[in-house]
Amino acid sequence: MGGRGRRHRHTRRGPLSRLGEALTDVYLDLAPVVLSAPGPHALDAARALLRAHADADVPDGRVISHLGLDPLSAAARAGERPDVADAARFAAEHAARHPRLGLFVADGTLVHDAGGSEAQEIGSAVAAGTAYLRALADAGIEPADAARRIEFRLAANADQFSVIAKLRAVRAMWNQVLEACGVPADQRGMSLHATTSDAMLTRRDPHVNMLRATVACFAAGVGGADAVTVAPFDSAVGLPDDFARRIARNTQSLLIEESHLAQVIDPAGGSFYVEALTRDLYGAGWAFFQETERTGGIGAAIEHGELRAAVDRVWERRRHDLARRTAPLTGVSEFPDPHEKPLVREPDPARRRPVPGGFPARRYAQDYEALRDRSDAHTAATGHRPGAFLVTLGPVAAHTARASFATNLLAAGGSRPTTRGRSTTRRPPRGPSRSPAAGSR
Amino acid sequence: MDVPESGAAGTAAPNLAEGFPAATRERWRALVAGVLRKSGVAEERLADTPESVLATHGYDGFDIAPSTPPTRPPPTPAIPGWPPSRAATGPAEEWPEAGTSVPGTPTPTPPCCAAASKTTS
Repeated sequence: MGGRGRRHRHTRRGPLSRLGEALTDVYLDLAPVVLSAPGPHALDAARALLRAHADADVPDGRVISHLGLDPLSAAARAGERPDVADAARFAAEHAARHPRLGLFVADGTLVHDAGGSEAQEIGSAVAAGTAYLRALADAGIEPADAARRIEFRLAANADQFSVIAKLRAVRAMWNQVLEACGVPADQRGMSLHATTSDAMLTRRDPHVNMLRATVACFAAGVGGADAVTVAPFDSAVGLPDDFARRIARNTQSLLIEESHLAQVIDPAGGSFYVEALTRDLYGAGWAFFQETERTGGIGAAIEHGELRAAVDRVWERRRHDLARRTAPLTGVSEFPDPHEKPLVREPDPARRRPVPGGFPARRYAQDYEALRDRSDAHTAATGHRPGAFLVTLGPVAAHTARASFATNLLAAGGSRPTTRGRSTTRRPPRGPSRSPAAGSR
Repeated sequence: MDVPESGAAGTAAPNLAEGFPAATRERWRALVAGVLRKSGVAEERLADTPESVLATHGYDGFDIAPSTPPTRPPPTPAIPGWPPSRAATGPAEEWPEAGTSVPGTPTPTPPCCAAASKTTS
């Protein structure tokens, strides 16, 4: 999405030798492929992608795909020591022959998915971009050329204005970095790829994820993302089915083709609110970037655990707010459906499993969902769902607010409250039937 | 499009504030405090900046103000549509090239206006 209307397609994971087969009939010189191959096989995957281009007779000068190299995030997730130099040497070898080939991904979703804040996300992404810029410079690529080949990956969640401001702020930060590197002003833009947040997805009431993804996709488009990936609504549960994948594709198709989001540049610019939020995020993100650089750059911050510690501090505060429901989650901590049948999907082989000692993947709903799972297990074992009896006194008008609150609260933890108001509320003989106290849905 | 900006019409524009006392920040704050007092906000929080009661606290060490005055400048001067507010990979094909996009140089015609004038003329 965004001005260039570029879209991304998810392909299923398979052996590297079959990458070319998976890309049969794709016009590789028109439709760029962005690799996502974290871990030890990243360079093999990059070779396989280039081989697929060669097999499809794409001239070297017209290869516009992206190798998606990201040794920093891969090492952080695996809990290993990052090494950027090897990948940079490899990238530099291929960069010379392919002038338009993308090389590195500076990924802010590493921090976002671990529960970090917006400023930490953009600060660490710019720090990663800077690390790759340095590594490519050491491998003999000019900063302006290197900057063009680094793609930034940020998460878009359902907080519309925060996403818009975040995307605007990170561009200004990168502009600042490239200015310091002596890159001319007209080459200081940022290639920005937003993906809908994995952390915001819920397993319970998963259809709400469609609404979350739509807001996120909208905000990413308005914020000026060059590409947007929308995750299917059931992707936190397991391998997405055809319906979920179609909805995910249509979400962006509708926003591009019918809402024409890609036709307008920076529509939020000039709003006092958005400009102020952009400025504040820029300040906080830049401070985080400087702090990271002071400790020796993002590689050292990952290796010595400073990045993880900073993210964990925010996650603890976030978790506290989630648990107290001051940060509500629709369908999970607010308006949960105690009668819900959980969605069942095959396990997704492409989903990264968190490694002990590595960067965690956290979802905002995970604590509530653990309680709901426990309640389901108890129900399956005993035949009875844990419950509570709400004694509602007086007419509905007198107790409904408190009863709804208590019902929601208990259901969020997997209890199914029962209410009896018969002794005190008289039902009119033939009037419209009164809804029970729990009128949340 | 030749639409005069608001206020640019000069003497012909009516002064809507005529006859009202001058609006000051202190007066506005007194009104804000009055409303919040009715909601039961403690008096000591209403003393200096009552609007801060309505601020949103994020995880990044700054608060989001409930009302933003027009005095805050953006972090870097950016012309919408040109770097750094957009990728330097260039505007889409149908938009004019970003040749004179350096902030500080004469403002290029924004692509949207250029396109609009083409269709209306």
